[in-house]
Amino acid sequence: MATINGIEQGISCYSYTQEFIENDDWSINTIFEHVAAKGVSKVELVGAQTFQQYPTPRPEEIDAVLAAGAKHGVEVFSYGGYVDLGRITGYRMSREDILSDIRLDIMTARSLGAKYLRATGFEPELAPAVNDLAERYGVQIGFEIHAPHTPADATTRGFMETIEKNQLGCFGLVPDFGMFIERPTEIAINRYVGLGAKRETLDWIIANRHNGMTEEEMQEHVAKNMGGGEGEKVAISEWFGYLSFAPAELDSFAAMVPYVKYVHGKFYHLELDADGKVFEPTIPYEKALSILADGGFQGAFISEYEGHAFYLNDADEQLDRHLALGKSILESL
Amino acid sequence: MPTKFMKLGFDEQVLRRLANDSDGYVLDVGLNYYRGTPISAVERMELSVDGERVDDDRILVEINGKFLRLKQVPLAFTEYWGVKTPIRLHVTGEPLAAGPHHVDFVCEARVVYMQFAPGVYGMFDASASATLAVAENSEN
Repeated sequence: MATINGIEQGISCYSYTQEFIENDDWSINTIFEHVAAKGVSKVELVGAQTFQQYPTPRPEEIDAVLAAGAKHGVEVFSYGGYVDLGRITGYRMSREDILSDIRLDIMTARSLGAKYLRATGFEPELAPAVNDLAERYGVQIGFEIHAPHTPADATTRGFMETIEKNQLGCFGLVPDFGMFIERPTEIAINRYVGLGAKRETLDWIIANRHNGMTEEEMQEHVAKNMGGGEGEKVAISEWFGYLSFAPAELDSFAAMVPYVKYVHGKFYHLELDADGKVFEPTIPYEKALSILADGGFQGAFISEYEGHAFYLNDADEQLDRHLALGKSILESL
Repeated sequence: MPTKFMKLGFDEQVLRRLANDSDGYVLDVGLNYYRGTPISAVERMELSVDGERVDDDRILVEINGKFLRLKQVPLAFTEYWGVKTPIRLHVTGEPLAAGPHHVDFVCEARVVYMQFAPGVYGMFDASASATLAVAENSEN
């Protein structure tokens, strides 16, 4: 993909979650074939999904990714890791346990030839030690800032201060554009309706999401006083969690840009307007991308479709739309 | 705050195959989740066939060539249940009659990376129900 204003578009293989899970004949090779057909050569690969053994994939699993990459001209640009803190029942992982898991992810990233490890699952005070590991193994770390975190919250500020104070050269941040979602997508709302939720109850939850109620209080209120069932329960849980929404904190995003290693262009569902032009009805993409470019960011912008939440089996179409949207915005800056 | 309860829509990938075995029957079970999980994260696993709960002591869970009693599942933190790799439940005892059987599978697990207080995790529900047919003279 062409680099526009110093920014190159890539794709997260996670965008194909639905196809990968539902089709026994889909492999990482199939995904790379689809990515390459779009003219994209940089991908992010999520280890815990791609590999059938994690955090230490079998050697043949690594070989299969490398072979698929060579065949289709696709590079694993970043490797998505996790710290599975709850893996051992009843056991609290120590600092050393966590660093050991991150090291395992770094080793996998290296085996895949990835320049970046996208990391999660630890607090800012661990960043210097993670940076030391990254330096030792020659991999860059990007800690993912994902909803419900925002560019201005205590965790994000903590990471920026730690990077600054310790002058960490191999450690930075990966903002996920999902943190700028301002309202739920219509498709998500319809999914909860499909699970039995009443539309008027969902509208009430959306209107009251930031009224000061905790998730527990809202769950209890909706279940006891509004006749809420399974659909409402899932909606509240997701809207307080990974599908959280709020007015986008774009002003504070500018301060974060100098720490950005690369970007997750998360999106939920792109629509076409009356003129056939692509738009994202829930995330202010144009503004967020322009802040990134104005801040001098140069690097990869990875399209990440969260479509598996909606079961529309349309990753290829949605990724095409997202690449077109990104290209059009970047060219206009 | 992370999501506390997650139910994805890959239900049809869960209950895959029911067949008689040399000592009872087997059920192949896929995962309704967007990534794999260490099987130790499974906090509740129950099986009912034709409306009748199968005694936990009759079930052996086969994962990566290892065989675990249900009570041992939470201990098996090194065994990874890949999102494309079904596990196999072995149910000892009488084989099933040929023909359709209604299977209810309950599976609730920790989202192992979503900890919001020490020892308190988000959960996902990978339960599923389906009617599966046992073939005439089917054996494994």
